[in-house]
This record gives sequence, C-alpha cells and structure tokens, in this order.
Amino acid sequence: MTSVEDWALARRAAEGDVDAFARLVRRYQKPVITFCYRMTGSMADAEDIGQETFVNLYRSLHRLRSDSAFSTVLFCYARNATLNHLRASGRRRRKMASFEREPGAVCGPPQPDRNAQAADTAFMLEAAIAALPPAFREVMVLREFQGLDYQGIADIVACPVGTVRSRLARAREHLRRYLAGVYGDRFP
Amino acid sequence: MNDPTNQFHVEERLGALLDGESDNPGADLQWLETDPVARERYRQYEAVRALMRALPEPDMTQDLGHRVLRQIERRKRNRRGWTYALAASGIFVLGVLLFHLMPLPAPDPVAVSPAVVPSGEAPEETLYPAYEEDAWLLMVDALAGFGLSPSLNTLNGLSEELLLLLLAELAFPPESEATNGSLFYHEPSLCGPPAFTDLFDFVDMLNEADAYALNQVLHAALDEA
Repeated sequence: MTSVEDWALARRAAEGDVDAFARLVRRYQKPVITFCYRMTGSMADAEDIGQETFVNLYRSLHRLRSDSAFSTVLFCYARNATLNHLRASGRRRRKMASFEREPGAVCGPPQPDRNAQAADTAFMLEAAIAALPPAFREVMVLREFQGLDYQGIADIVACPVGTVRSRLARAREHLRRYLAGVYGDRFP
Repeated sequence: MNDPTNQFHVEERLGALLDGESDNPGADLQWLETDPVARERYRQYEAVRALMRALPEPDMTQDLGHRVLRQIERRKRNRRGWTYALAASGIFVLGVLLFHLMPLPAPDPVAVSPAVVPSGEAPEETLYPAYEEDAWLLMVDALAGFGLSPSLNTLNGLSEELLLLLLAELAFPPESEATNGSLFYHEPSLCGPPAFTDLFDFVDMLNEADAYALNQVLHAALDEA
C-alpha cells in the first residue's frame, strides 16, 4: 500500500468511515507495536501505547496534511506517545542514569556464563538496546527495525539529518562495545 | 583511530557507509581496504546489525484494531455524556438563578399560622409561592420537555423595565388578582403544585424583542452569579 492510498484511507476515515480507519490500523499496527516494544521493552506497554497512538491519530485526522508520508506522520504520533509513556513511568531517567556512566561501563562489562552466551545473545542485545537513552534508541529502532533512511528518521524525530547520523553512530558503537564486553575476542 | 574526535568521525563514517548514506562511498570503501582497524570495526557493526535484525519479532496478543475502535467509540460516548451533563448544569444554574431572582412574597397570615384555625373549620384555601421543591423539579422537567431552546429562545428580548415590572408583579401580585392566581401563585386545590411552566407559558406569549431583552438580563445576572 502506498502513502497515497494511506492518505486516501485517512481522508475517508476523517469523514467518518470507520472501516477505512480499521484498515489503516491493521496495516500499521505491527510496525507501530514493534517500535513501541523496542522502545519500552514491554509488550503490554507497547500495545497500550500503540492503541493510544491510533486513537490520537484518529482524533487528529481532520487536520492532518498529506505533505509527508503517512507512515512518517504515524510514527511521529507513536514516538510522542512512547516518550510520554517513558517520562511518566520514570524509566527514562533510570535508563539515562545507567547510560551516562563512563563509556567502558555503559552497560557494565557483563560476565555471563560462556555456555549460555549463544542462547542469551538475543536477551542481552535487547537489554543493551533498552539501556540506550531514548534519543539514541529511537533512531536505532527506526533504522534497524523499520528500515527508514536518515531523512525519514529526521522527519520523525524532528532533528537534522546530521544529528540522526551522529546519534546512530553513537548508539551503534555502544551496542558494539556491549557485545565486545560479552564476547571478548570471540565477537560474533 | 585513537583520537576521540577522529574516533567519533570514524564511527559516523562507518555507520553511514553501513546504512548506505555515505557521502562518498567509493572513497570509504577504499579506506576500508587500506585500514584493517576500520575494516574490523565495520565488520563488527555489520555483526551488530545482523544480531539486531535476527531478534524475534514481538508477538501481539490481540488485534489492535478492535481495541482502538472500541476506545474511539467509548470516547465518543463520553463526549456526548459530557455535553448532556453541561447542558443539564446550564439548566440547573439557570433554574437557580430564576429562583433567586424571584423575591419572596409577603407571607399570608393564614398560611403561616395554620394553628390559629379553629378545629372543625376547614382552613381557607391558601396561596403559596411556586418556588417550593416540587415546583423546582417541575421547572427542570418543563425545561427538558421544551427541549430547552423553545422556551429560552423566547427569553431573547424583554426590556429591563418590562422584566422588573414583570418580576414585581409576579412577586407581589395585586390583592385583587391574588385570589385568581398570578403566574407564581395559585390555588393548590385547583392547580396542584405551583408550576414554573406558567412562566414559560407567559414568556412564550412575549414578542421576540421582549423575549430577547429578558434573556439578555437573565444572562447578565447569570454571569454575575
């Protein structure tokens, strides 16, 4: 489905066509939930935020402008709802506190059981992603899980492309250091 | 690659190359060929990306569409409820205002001292003011019955002088008319509980200009209240 079709559905939804809006929800619920989940680390929270995202979008349909891609607008709503949730839960402050230590101790050099390393890689990587500050995590999630380019990410997070580039580089470097701390010279 | 500034530049450059956003991919690829440290770093970034993309996708516990549509419908209902509540509040305030605008009539000596009526004799028919509790409820009902607008619209225009005259007459009916029942007085045995609907009957008979003036005065009083 193209953005043009999305906007056509959005216009119909704004005129009261509930089925058109239901189609939009079905179309985008998975990427939105994935984004929220990677940002919060909780499926229950992700579904609540996803629901709030679509409800907020529905209430604003009549004043949305189709200048940008529909997905960009939708992810703006998802991002705002997610950041509000993180602020409200206080999780953001805790994550920042753990992140803002010295680079070597960003996530703490983990000392996992070597035998469990392979099985726990996914778990540890998710923990490392969750430990990133939201400003870095969101660009990483939008890039790696949503496949957006730098300009698309910049439109969503409302910052210059150069900022996206540097945030991505720092986030990626932190994850690399984390995995290097886990695997040492046996880096995957 | 040990200089922090240079280090950060290297990370950005490698990241951009990895993401296909390099300003000069040809030069960057050549750089990788000649710099083994950068090449190893780039390989590790590729590994990080591969691990991230291999992470299991979250399983949605339910279709979000139903939840979203349910919540939208619930919010619509709530909004309607608030609208009704606000309308009811407005009616209540207006009613209270009307109630307070009506001066209390001078008490009828017979009505205030029923104990002096000799036993065995039927008390005289007494008049009592319409702003008793029952009358209040009746007025609210009457407003609702009118759908609010028909009666209130007719309030749009009574001149202030006429309003004061009206209120004075309603509050202090001439002796000669009292027994016939004014708008706010009546004989309970004939009419049942006094009804403020009489006021609206009266207002409905007003011409548009007078009704408008009345409404203005009432609104001004409401604002002050």
